[in-house]
Amino acid sequence: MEALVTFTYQVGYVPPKCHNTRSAHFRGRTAVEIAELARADAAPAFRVASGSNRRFAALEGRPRLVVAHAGRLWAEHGALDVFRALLAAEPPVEGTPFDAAKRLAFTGYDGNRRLLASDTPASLRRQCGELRRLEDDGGAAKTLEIQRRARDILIIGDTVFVRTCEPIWRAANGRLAVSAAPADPGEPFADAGDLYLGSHSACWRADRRDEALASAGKPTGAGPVADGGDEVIEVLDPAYVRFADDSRALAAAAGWIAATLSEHLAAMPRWVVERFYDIREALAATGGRNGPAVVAAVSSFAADGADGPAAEDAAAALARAWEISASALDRWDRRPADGREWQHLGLPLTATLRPNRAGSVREVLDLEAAGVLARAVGADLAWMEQMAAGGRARLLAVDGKKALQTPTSQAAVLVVDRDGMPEVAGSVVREGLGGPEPFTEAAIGHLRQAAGAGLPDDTAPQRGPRT
Amino acid sequence: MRLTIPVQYQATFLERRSRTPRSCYLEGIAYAEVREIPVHDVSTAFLVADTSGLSPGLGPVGGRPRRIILHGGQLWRELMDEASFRALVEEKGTDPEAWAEVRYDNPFAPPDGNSLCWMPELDTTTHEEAARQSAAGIREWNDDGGIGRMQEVQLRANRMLAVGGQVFEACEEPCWTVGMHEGEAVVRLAMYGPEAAAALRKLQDASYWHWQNRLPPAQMFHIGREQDAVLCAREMGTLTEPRARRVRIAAKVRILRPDTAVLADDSLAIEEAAWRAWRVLEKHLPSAPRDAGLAIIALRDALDAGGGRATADLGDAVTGIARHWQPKEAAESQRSEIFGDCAHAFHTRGSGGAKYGSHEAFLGHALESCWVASRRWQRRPPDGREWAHLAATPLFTRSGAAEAREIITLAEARELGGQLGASLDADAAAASEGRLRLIAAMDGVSFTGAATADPDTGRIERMVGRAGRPPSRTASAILESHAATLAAQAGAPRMVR
Repeated sequence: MEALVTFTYQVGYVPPKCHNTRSAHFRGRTAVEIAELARADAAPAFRVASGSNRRFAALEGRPRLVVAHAGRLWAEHGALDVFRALLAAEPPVEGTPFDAAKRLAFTGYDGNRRLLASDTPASLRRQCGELRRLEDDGGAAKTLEIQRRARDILIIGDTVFVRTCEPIWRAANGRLAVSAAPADPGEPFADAGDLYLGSHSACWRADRRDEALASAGKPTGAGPVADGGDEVIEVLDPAYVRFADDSRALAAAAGWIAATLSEHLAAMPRWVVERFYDIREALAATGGRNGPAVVAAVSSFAADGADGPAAEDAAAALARAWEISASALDRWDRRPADGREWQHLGLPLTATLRPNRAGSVREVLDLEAAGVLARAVGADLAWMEQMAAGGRARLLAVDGKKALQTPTSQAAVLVVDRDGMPEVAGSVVREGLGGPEPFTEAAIGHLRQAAGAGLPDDTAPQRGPRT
Repeated sequence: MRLTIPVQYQATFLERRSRTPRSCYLEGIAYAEVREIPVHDVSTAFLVADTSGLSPGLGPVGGRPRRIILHGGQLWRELMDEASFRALVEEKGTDPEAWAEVRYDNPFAPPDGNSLCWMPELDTTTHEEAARQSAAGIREWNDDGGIGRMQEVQLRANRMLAVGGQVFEACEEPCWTVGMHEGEAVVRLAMYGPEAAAALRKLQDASYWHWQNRLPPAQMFHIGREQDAVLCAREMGTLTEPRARRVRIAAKVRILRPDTAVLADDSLAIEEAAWRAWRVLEKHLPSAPRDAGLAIIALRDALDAGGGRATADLGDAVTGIARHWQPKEAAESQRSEIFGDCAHAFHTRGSGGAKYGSHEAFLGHALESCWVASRRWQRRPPDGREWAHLAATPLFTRSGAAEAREIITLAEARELGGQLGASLDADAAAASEGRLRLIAAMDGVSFTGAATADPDTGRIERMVGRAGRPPSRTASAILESHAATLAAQAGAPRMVR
């Protein structure tokens, strides 16, 4: 469907006899193509309603439908005719998907009404006289953004859908609420003040409502837990439940422990410092995510006990870190054996991160990461996921980075073990990036490097899948 | 020798219809008595002549080497003849020009330049002048006649001697020091002793040695180790090329009483390097590589175990730190990887000292100290001035304010003996040979007792208190407690030098 979107954008100008640049808002218009889909081509995945999350708020008193298409999830936004009316409204009004993220079609500018009225170069000249300078790109940047945003909209039948994240449960402070899956954890060790612990450890997959409800009251101790009656996630197809909640919780706990210990290292006994370096190196080996090295390092820390420094604040930090590690490991040990992750099959060196060179490689060890990779390369990687989850091959995500001048380039490489030597069993490269050779070479290089790396503590207990 | 010295002191007064006291400086006269000692009661320990211009207190006197004499177990530095000294403090006391010339030979002038006797920058007045200048008139004076200042002057005079027409001032032990000056390594004289060592132990900040303009002990050597000082200067030259290709020996020394030189220079170097490195490196723990981080933790643990004293463990820990920072030619890349660009600040130090105030400069200096101290520790001579390798673990026992610790340097043994009024040289010699352990009891401020214990069984053989009396009950208890700890450790393998 082609739609006409009206938007405002900012320009700079210098009036006569002036030196300083002023700003005004002009009105622009662009045509965008919005994809249309037959109802049969989208698979219903979830039905969600939330009283606390605007993204999943009930629609006309009923839960929103979330469908899956092209490896992505799309949430019901509203009726098509209402959407058309909103787009055609003059002046443009809020409420369209274009307005949802960055207020691209914003109209309200209550700063300088006089300039707001000057919505064309001609009207500005009428007001100010001949301008000394006018910096007007015709709204090109905002046009590009609107067209990019249009790709996040999908029309199925007479309903508009907007791309969304996987709905999950967030249980904290005695409350259970629907939330959207948080973004990639990235580098949890980067900042001690970050809320990775809270943002990941409190998250539960859509099909684990009971466990989420049970954990909601824990941080606050006793007291009734709000059942979240107006919070609904109905899983229509379990295949789309991919959020790696336990993995994220453990990686976040490891990052939190490392960050907390790092603030008191000078007062910590030697064994704590050694465990700190174990966790830090494990996080570095996994790129800040969960992995066998992280599990081993956190297990080692938890096994060593919580007695240590005399300094009060250091002792408190150590006790809290130990408590967090025990809690995260307990959750990790109780994770369901549903094949959504295969961390125990991973190599100790899960990631080779080379930010300035070609070939940053990361081993994919759960369905969520596999889904992200599939979206990046634009292909269905189900067969690769199955082989990796079954332990018959290793699935590697390869990032080309700067050497290929394609900052978002990605490739999926499946490697099998052939008589002790890694052999590429298949690869999928993002469209337009040429042959797979640079990516497969990087993947094989990573595996050779990983083969020579050991766990920080080989004696640490290994935690395989729950049986 | 009686001195009559003009001094300034502060007094306060109240003006009429005013409740807020005001202050002014008044002139007064202080009388000080300097002890006169017969010539045959002293012996000359050293003759020194430093010509570097950087150690004016140890330069020649009247064109001949300066004498440092020994009297009552204390070293005394020759200042000048009595007539000149009297002229200085009695006649030229108010002359700012005179202060500048003889600043380092005037015992009434502290190193910071302000004199106890006279501060030329102060405007003094009298009661009458103050009354004249006050519009309302003065209703009350609080003027004690400067008694506090006069007592202070007498205390200073107590640290002086008049011997054979010359005036001497109590001083610390002379030693060699190596420093950089105008692009060359200069080997010159300095003084180091218990006061400086105590200041070192109070080290709270890595910047201490910079702000206090003190010489780092890592570059100090026993007065009998001139060749080692020269060797250190040459090594510094190789570390910091191209600024130190020449080594200048700017002093001459003649040692007449070798037994008076007890400076545990290598121990001090290790202690200072360890403290400084810990203060600077502790904040690098979270980002340091594992082996470097564990070396830093080993350093901390060794400092804790030995109470900051130079023990064998501390020597190993400092060596561990130094292993991560090699001379420039050896491991430029390794150093830059481990400590980033911090260590290179050491190399920029000589070029104007622009980075003196930065943390990077402190880190560079700390690593440099570790490297130098580690080399010195490994090459320290077995001359009986320290026996850290024979020390038991733990080195000390604490109970409330009381502390018992093993004495592991001759300098400490002398200090202990001096405070208790007993000679412990024989015990120290036996301890240095491993035949017994010498243990001191402290009350947090000074030594309160000493004991010797059998190194194999930990059994106490002898106890000494102050002025020949038995030690107090508290001191005895803490000494026995530490001996019991030693007994528990008896039979443990000993460290080998």
